[in-house]
Amino acid sequence: MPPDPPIRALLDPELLLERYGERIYRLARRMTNSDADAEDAMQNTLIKILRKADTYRGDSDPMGWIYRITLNEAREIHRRRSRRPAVSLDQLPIEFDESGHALGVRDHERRPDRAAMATEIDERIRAAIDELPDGYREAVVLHDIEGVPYAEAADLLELTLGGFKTRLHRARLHLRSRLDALWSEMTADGARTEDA
Amino acid sequence: MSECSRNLCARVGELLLQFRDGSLPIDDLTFVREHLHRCPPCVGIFKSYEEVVEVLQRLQPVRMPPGLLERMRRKIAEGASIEDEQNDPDGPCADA
Repeated sequence: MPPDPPIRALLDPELLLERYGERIYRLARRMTNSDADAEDAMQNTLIKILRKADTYRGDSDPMGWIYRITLNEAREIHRRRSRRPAVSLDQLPIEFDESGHALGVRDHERRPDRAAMATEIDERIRAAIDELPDGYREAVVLHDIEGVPYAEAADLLELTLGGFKTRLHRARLHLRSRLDALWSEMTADGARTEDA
Repeated sequence: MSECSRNLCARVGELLLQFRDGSLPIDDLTFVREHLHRCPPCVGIFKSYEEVVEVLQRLQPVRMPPGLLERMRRKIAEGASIEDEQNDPDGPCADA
């Protein structure tokens, strides 16, 4: 028996949920950093897919098409509900001292125990991802978290490969500065505890 | 350190992604390697850059909340019925 054409799963709510539900939710949750917003984005995505299924022209895995719709819905909801303006990444987020040396580097040999802080790191990174501008957040979520290859992720975001890498790089540097701030806090806390 | 300058460090900062994924042209690769050899602050930045990618790849997995699929089934049905209502020529929006 020949396999089901992909469009069948896009027309049938039950098949759609079974095959793609988890991936849609996961992407929406990563993009919105909120259970409620992810659920709303997922609902909108599913309804949109079912309504537009007959316009899908691909003959293979429709995941790219589904990702694109999910990203649009999640972006829309995130924009509407975001409480803070996104950080600006126009400048390369590396700071320099007066003599021209790069700043913000902690001593890697003395970093706090990462395993013991997994939850805190997780929360900080999620919050830092949440404050990125849309396109930068999408680049990090798609490539670094969801593992979508460069070319595919660039295509989803309608960017050139170089443009995509630039966004990803700047987003990572921003996250790096946030993670570094966390390490500094932890080191200072540790020093205070030792002094007491 | 005296050989470092804001421009050189910034240039290395711009090339870290390609340095990490091995896609730098040979001239840039040599430049970054040599710079990292003599600039501890940039080595620190590179290490923490690597660390961010690692942290992102190890984020705790997202799990679907209990009952989510059931709620989605219901919402899809409601969504469909709203659309049906709008398309129904005898529905509340039909011309008098």
